[in-house]
Amino acid sequence: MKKTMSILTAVLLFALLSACAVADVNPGSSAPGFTLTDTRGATHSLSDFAGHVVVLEWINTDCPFVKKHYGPGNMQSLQESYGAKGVVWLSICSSTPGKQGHFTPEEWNQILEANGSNAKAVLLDTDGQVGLAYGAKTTPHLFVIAPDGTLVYNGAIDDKPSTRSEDIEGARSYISEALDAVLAGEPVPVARTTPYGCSVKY
Amino acid sequence: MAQRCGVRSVRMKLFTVILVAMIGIGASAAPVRDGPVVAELIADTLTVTPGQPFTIALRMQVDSPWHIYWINPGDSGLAPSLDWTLPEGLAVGDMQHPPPLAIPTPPFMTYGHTGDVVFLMEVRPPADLSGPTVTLSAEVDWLVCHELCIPGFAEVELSLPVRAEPGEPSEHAEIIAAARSQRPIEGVDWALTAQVQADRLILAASPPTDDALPIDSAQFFPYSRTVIRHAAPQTWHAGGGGGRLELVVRDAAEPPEYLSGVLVVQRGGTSLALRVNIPVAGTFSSRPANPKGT
Repeated sequence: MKKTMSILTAVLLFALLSACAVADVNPGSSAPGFTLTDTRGATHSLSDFAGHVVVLEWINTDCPFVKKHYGPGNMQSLQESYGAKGVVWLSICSSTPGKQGHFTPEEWNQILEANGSNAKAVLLDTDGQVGLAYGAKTTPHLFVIAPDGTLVYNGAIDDKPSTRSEDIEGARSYISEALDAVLAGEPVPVARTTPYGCSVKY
Repeated sequence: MAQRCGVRSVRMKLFTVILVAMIGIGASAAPVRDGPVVAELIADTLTVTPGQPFTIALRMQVDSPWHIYWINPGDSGLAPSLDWTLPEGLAVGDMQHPPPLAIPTPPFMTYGHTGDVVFLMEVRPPADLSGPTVTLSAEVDWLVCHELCIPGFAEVELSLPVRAEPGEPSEHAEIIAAARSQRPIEGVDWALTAQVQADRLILAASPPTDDALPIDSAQFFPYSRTVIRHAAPQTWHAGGGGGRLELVVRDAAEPPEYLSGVLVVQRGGTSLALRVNIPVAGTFSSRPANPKGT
């Protein structure tokens, strides 16, 4: 009975969530605008950052693929070095209340204190609308937006889908390549890849 | 010297006899649990004959309600992987994945397995394999999920005696035979075609003419992660003994040259899995496509 109910719930939820259009934003198209509140209560809109390169990084601190990059400081190091070059790096959490990765702002600030983050802000997309607008599938899932608001990268952080931190060193960093290219005003060599990670907990 | 040797040598002989007896039983090493998964290597035979292929399997028993992933996990997740340590000259074929289940993660879709999952592999021992035993070891990595995901790891091992005579079936021969019967089949007598139609890919399937069982529903699982929208409904239109399955392609995707994956059809309460690897006819455009011809 329980199994039937949980399958029925999943199917119903699936039908409901599928009904809200899940986007698939391709590089070359206009990045969807949004306004979200961060963990410190400040509001940010994508339009605030016009003229800057923006990174959107979907996050769930309990996901082993996110831990792979945060554990050894890989994500924080990317956030810091590109932040120093003027990139606006925003982490976004679309976990719905009750599901993994959802925290109150107070809990978030404790987590960020403990784990470290050099993102400009962690945005709380509690109703999942921004995630759905971008088609964010996994944590991590990365998007790079050029200064003119065009999406130039959509996909994985690197080319080694695994949960092992040891795999970072030999991997091809798609995010670094995309950022280096857009900062130099050049076309991004690989604009779209398949992201890997845990599912976003809408 | 002789006195010291007396007691010791008996103990040593007893130890050796027990050890040889254990090897003689030829069982796999103990199953390994990591979280909700128990992993082990099993074989369909009790002993190995040099030059004689046999079947093994990675068996992963996944506690309910958890799941592991198919070779194409879908929109998220990660398929299990094996890293072998093998004796010189012995080859093991690729992992054969059972047909998957569609496991929704709303609004997205994944493909995976639940319960007792058996990945078959063929082993080809060299003709000059020397005994007394042969040991296959592997490191298995997987992702097991339900609401949240846990990476899993196990070191699994299989040791079998080497014998000149053909091996007797092991206690696992039946489960391996059952897995073999559930594998996707080539469907040589089936007519399978793929055709672009506006923004859809139409997979048409017709069973052999002497097969009157109608197809109630069907689902296509692609090997590639980038061809179709995994979460889009796949509408089955029955007709002419078989039918057509509508697949929604990913936005702005160029049609692939080939459509590869597994088509699972439901007929009268039983499911049949067919291996699909067919050329795709037509091109995507806003106008109705003209078939290029297969």
